[in-house]
Amino acid sequence: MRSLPLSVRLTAAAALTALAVIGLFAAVNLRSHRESLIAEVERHADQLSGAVIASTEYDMMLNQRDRLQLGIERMGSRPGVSGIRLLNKGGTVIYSSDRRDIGGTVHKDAESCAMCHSGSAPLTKLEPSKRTRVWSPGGGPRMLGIITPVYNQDSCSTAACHVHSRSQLVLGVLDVTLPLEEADRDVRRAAVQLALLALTSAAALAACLGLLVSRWVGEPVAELVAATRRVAGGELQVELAPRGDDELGTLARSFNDMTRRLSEARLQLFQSDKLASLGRLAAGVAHEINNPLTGVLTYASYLAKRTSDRPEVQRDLEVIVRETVRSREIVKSLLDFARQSVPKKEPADLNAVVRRAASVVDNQARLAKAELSFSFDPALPPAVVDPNQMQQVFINLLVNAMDSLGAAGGAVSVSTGVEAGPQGRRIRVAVKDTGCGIPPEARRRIFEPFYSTKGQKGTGLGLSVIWGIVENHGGTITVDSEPGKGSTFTVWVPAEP
Amino acid sequence: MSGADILVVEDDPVVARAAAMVCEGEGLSADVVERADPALELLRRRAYRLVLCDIMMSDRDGFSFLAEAARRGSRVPVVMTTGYATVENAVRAMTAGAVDFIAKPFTADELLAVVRRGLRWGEGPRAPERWREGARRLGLMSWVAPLPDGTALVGAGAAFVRSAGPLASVALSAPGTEVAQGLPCAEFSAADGLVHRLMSPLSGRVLETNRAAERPGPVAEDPHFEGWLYRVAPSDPGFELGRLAACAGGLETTAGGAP
Repeated sequence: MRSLPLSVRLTAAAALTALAVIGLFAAVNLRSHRESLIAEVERHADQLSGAVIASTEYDMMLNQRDRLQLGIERMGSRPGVSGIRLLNKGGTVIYSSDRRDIGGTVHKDAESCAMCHSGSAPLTKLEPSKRTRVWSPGGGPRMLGIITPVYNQDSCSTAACHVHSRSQLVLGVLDVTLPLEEADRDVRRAAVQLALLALTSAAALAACLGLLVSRWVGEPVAELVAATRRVAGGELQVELAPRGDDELGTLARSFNDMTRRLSEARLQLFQSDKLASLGRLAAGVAHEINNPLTGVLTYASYLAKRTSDRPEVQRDLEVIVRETVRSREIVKSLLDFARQSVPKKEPADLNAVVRRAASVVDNQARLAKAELSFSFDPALPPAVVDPNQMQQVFINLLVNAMDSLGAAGGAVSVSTGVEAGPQGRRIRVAVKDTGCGIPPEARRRIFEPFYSTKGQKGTGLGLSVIWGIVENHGGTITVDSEPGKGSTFTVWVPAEP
Repeated sequence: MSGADILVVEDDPVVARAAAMVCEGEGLSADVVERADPALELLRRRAYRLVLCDIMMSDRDGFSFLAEAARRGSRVPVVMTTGYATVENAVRAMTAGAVDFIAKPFTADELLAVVRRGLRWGEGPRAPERWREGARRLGLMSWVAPLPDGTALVGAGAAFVRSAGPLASVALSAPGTEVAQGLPCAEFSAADGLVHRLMSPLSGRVLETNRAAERPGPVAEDPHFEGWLYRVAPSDPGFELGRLAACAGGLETTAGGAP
């Protein structure tokens, strides 16, 4: 049972329950039906008995025995009547629809007599249901027999034949037997019908329920299971189709939410893993290279100092010194680039970060004759960033903008805003200047490490490090520029979800 | 208790030999030792004028060596070196009490400048230092004084200037260049031909250089006040100033510290 699908189990349970309930109902129904049918026959028998007694009373009084017998025979042969016989007080059959019975005696211990004669003194009155018995003679179809006492009446005890004295209460009994065959057949037919009804109802219910369960539960669950298997296999781009507002719909939405967050977290982890291992690699390499470089540099420079008497040798040694110093700078730049600290992120208002950056370069802006202007989006949502690193990014962008202005100065404007994107909302910070611009060939390369358009040997942040910081935050930085007109650097970072 | 002038603690034999060679070429004697614990032992038993110590060693690192030497009462100036020349290491070395920091690879002259300065460090009487209001220092090498407008003044420490000896000239970075905490930002050329590189106390962009510092006079005589070198726009003052020491007198003052 455990390995059967949910929908099958639900459907089977529903079908069985329906079957049980309907079956119980049917059984109860059937029983009452049968009982009422038998009661009906009983009533009929009782009425018939009454009618027989009433119709034979006159003949009895006139002692018309033959006419009595004929009457009983005729009544006893009617359809729906099995037999009628009249017994006297002693239990002898006086008249009977079946002539063979006449003269026979029924002992008072017989089943038919036991109801009244079981006690020490016979009962004189009994309700009809107690006077009936149901049996199947010789194992054949069932019969219902009813015993009706014939009571003594004035007209009987004062009749001319003087058969019955006044002191007798009961003169004899009428035994009427009716077949139950038809009733039984009726009941059987009803039983079959009810059974069929029960089965079809249960089947229909099962089918209906099965369909609904399959559609409402089975399919969504199967879809969810398949999606879960894919996620477990490492595929995090799985998304479930939206379905309604019920529990399964909510589950599907939560699932999508979960995979999205998992995917983001994995990306972040991957990034910081990548950074961490890159940093470690760079550190290891730098350390390893710096020792042998020291040997080369120290010895070469030492020798260069001591060969002033041999200028050609000294010149050559100085080449070695120079190139080794250059290698030193390269290794240092590599270390700087790879050594970006993993950002310590927290929700921050980028408007405030930009304002802080601007205040730091305020003086320099005045010196550079740069007109700083800002356009902050007042409803800017928070972004999850390392505020210090972002501040460095903006300081650098501002200073670069100011540097590009030239002796006459110019305008530097900063704007912030939020926009919707395929992966959620992004915050946009743009730094625009009216400076000298960047030619297209350089634009492609300015974010590369070691690339410089200014020729300065900067020891601080370059655009490559800025690019690295923005990348670490899951954002992007782009540049738009027209030589002679100006440039715009735009930074996008994801807004707090 | 005779000893050599210099104790070189360095586990790479080529580097150790190179350092010793440079020192010997200047008439200075040098003892070479590979590990920190034997070095501590030697420090105890012999008198040295200077220790040149690598940060990464097998038994204990340079900072631990520094702390342990100080704990044992050693007053010998220590110069730290390392192949993993990060600003963190430089700043940490200075604030841990090293008198200087030199990154590998170095030229013979770079090493010599540091050695000469280090040798002169402990010499001579020391007058109590006076510092600018609110200034913070990188070891005893350089200082930074934040200004109300958010920029900061940067200059050389008196101990650094003194130990460089008579100054011939000072070469400064031009306005607009970036400086970084723990990395060289200016070069002091001494009369003896050695060039001493000053480590910047914080990162930022140079906004202005001091005209007065173009002549070595003010820098040599009054490096904390009149001889300031740069006005910079700090890039990360909150974080970096926290790594510096407060200015409250010099490392060894005869009387109580000055404001």
